[in-house]
Amino acid sequence: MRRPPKKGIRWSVAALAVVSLLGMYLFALDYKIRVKFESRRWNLPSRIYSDSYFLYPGRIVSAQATERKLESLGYKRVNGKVRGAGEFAREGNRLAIFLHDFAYPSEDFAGFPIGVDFQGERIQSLSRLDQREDLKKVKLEPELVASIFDEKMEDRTLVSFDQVPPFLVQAIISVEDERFYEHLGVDPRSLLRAFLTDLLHLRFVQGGSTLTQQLVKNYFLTSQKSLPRKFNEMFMALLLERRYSKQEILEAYLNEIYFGQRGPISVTGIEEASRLYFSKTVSQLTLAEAALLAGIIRQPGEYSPFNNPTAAYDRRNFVLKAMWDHGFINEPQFREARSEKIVMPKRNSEIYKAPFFVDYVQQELRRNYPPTVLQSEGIKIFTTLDMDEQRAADVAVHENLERYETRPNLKALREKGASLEGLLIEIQPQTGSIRAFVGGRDYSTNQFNHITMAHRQPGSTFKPFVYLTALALAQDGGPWTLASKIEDVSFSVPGPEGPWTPSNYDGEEHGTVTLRTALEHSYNIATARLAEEVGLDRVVAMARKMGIESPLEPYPAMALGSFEVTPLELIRAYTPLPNQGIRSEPYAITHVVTREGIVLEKKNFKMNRVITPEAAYLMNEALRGVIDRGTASSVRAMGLRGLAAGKTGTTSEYRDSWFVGYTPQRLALTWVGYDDGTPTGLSGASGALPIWTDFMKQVSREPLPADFVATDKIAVVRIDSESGLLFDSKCGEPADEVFIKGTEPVEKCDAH
Amino acid sequence: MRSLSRGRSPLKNVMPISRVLGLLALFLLASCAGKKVPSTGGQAPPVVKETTGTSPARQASDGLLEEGKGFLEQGQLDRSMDSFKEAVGLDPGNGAGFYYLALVHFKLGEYEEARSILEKARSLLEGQEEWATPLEDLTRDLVR
Repeated sequence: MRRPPKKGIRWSVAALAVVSLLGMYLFALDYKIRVKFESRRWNLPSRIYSDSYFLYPGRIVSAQATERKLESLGYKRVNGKVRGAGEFAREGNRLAIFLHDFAYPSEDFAGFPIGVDFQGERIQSLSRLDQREDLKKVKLEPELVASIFDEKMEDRTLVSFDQVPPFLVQAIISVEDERFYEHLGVDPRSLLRAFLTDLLHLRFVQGGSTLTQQLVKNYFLTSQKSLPRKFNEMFMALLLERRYSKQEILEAYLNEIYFGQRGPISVTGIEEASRLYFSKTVSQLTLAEAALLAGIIRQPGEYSPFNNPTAAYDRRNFVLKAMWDHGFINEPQFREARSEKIVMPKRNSEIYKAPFFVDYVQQELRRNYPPTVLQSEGIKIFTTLDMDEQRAADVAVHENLERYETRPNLKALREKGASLEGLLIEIQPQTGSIRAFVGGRDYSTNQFNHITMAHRQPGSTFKPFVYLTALALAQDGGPWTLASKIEDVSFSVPGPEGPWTPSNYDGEEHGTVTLRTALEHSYNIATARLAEEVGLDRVVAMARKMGIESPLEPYPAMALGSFEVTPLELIRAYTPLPNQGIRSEPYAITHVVTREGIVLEKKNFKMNRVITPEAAYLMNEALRGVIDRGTASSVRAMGLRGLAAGKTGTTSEYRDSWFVGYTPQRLALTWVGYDDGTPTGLSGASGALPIWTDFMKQVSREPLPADFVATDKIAVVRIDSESGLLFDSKCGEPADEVFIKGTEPVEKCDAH
Repeated sequence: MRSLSRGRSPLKNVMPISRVLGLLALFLLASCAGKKVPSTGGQAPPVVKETTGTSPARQASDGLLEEGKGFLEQGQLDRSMDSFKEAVGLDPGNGAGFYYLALVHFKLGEYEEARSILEKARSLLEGQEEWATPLEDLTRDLVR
């Protein structure tokens, strides 16, 4: 019987529909491939770097400290000679270092081997080992402080195919896809083998994926094991190979493939893998190292040399054997590579370095760069942070806060859940560069950046501005010198909320004292009286000039710091003192550079003269006395020697403990308190000051000058400490005092 | 501790001498104690500048300075600026570093930065004869 014609048409229509659907499906896949692969875009994290570190003859640093520095930069220790970038070796008093290549903002540095000879705790000499040349200085590259990732948290640095050693490609092909150059994207033989294995186990067990399929899975799809996903993967692999060359596919693969974890961060791409496992760029890998990386791909967790050195060795040797079998290497090369010891850098345990500083930098960056740019464009941000000083600051803050919480009152508060907070910021006053930045006790529990966001009363740390106002007037004929007398005797003045009567911390009145004595011992009454006499408006104007921007009203209690500031603005306001009257703007970022090396931004020093160098010098001398004789004398008791000046600050009911102190080259501010203002019982001297002192003892190792920079308008005069007049043998106690020329006493003291 | 009062002390004859020596020592100590910068009767002491002229940090800083000057001569202003900034970062008392930084800013047309940094250079180089003319010249150029 003949088939009715309608059925034939139905079959034809059905076939046409299937073909059409298949065509549309393939078109969609092809479109997806083209759109994503044409741009070949990966979200590359931006990098935040510390400042560079200089080695030079005479620098006070030990060999051990230098080794630690090198390890933090990812250098690895080897025995014998250093052969490649990223290695260092110690022999007696000499450290041999093969410097890393590094792309600085204004130069691409190619590493070479150097020798650093130590004598005790000091560098004696530097030399270039390949050219037998003495060196005056060597710059070690900056440390990577943080990377800014998108939500995928993939750490990746792109490489081009040309940068990859051929033997690395051969190693990967040998174990991952030996017929890579023969198939069209899918390898039927591997597929069949995998299918049979899966059938045997009645589930997906073994992949038969080519490199192309692996790339498709990671770049376009997910790793979900399902049939529809597998079909997509196969078709897309075929389409990819149809459109793009083997080299293009390999390059994408090398930049995409996953190599393990660095804490919560995924290490992806061959360049980051080289850095993670060997602390070198991919172009510097040896054959053995390349084989190890190729072996890791299959199971990064299992074959990681950090986790399982034995398995890593075995896997590496398996790869080398496969390379030999495929004719990529010969027997001598195989044996030599197999005998190469795996030397890895010390695993970096610091996942989060300087998190408050990183937050601050990101906040600065967000003014010009949206988060999407920072998370995807691979921008490089160079900063002023000194990682050694940062670590010293971290230790000083944490150890002291822990110690304070053993006190009964603070321990009780701790047990109720309160956490004592602290901070330290250090800047170089001559340039404004921020060298250390600890914005809180523990970023993991409290991300509040106390340095930039806490508004706290500065207390007595504001007093220097009152005295500075008085002393600065002397150059315009004003009456005040450090030897001038002021009454530390109770008085009242009208205030915004009624009469205000300042009192001293010790509850005493000290009679007639010099300005110097009043400041050294932080007398409230004398300071408040001085502020009234010089004029509160003048004090406000001085504070503004020095850098206080917070609301500041000319009422009497202002002289004792009864208003709020941020620590950042307070330390800025102190910069003119060690800097000869010139205020420096604190800054953290020096350069912002694209991944191609184009400098987008370069920060300049921002400074301007706000007071005369003479006024600054007088204040330095007075604040030196605070440390040598006054409220901060425990600095000396704690063992800090050399030229230093500073001011303690304690607010009412001991809610805030401050210390701002400086040497000629370092200015640091510390603070301790509770976020909710609970009294701590800690004064500036017992809370903030020990943190400052511990920090300074660690970082201030170079010999200090004998004095702050003076000018020829400064005179030193021997006076009678009681009357403030010129000393005579008939007088009482002599004391040397500094004056701006023309303001020194001319009258001799009377006999007492 | 043995008592010196038992029996005839062999030191009996010399004790008065030791007392004299002790007093002498005390006198010398007292005269040295509290010694600060001596009074100059109202005159200024020698101007106290940074005493780090030959310090290791200064030498390394000067090395960076020379590098910077080399870049400056080649017209590589950005590179020279980086070197000068590194020089003063290493030794912030290096007045010459601030001077050259000011000079580079001037050449880049960044006059505000040049003026403020020149002020810093001046405060460090004041009194050094060899710097009087360069400072004056750059100040004059900035005024123009």
